Amino acid sequence: MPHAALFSEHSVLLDLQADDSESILASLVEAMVTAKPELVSRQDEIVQALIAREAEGSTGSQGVGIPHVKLEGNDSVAVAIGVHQEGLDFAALDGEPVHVFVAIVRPADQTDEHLQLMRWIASVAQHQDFVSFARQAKDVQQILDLLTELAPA
Amino acid sequence: MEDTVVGTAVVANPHGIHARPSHAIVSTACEYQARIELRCDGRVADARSILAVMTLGAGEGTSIEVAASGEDAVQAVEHLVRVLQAAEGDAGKEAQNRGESHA
Repeated sequence: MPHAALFSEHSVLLDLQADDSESILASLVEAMVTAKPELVSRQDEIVQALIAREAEGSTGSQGVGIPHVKLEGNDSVAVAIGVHQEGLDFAALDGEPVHVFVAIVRPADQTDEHLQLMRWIASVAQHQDFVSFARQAKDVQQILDLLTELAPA
Repeated sequence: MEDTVVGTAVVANPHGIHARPSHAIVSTACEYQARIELRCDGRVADARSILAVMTLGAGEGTSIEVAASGEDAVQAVEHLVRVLQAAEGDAGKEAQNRGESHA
């Protein structure tokens, strides 16, 4: 399955309004469990794990944050993507505000698959137009299209 | 033209270079003035960009070349090779000690 197919209309947040990183992560996880209802019972656990993970070292860079954790007892990948128009201080190493967030929860095993997924999303996120196109998106489908169109060949 | 200093590190972590080791690599690279690239399997990444480092997708056993140019290139390469090899093991150990879940 292409990595972009992990995302559905439920996993896209076009206009994140939160003004701190914990609220952003909570919003992303809410979208994630809407797309994958089997994770609803673990929603708070996932939010806390993402917060703890980011506290160890920000995944923010070049306007994009990719918060991610692995989850024991979970056998599939869950994702969400959100756009914050104004940009948020996500403690990125380059000091730049983060406008696009991609949250990922993955199974405890599948190390190789996870590395490939991270490589893919980092490649998409690195595209010079990714952040500006994402901020200009008028609807959810345009975000989903971006993930397909900007993927490396 | 400035000379390029090159060193090699082999990824020891069974989880490969995921985000946390990438963070350690970028933090280290930012301590130096030298321009630093990481190279593996034909891919090249600016060591100051966490996204670029993650695009290497370097798994366990992958050999990574650290190439730096600039006045502190020697020190930068030595330090980064050490971080690439040491941070990997340390990261795994820390996670185990805390019993937390990490990607």
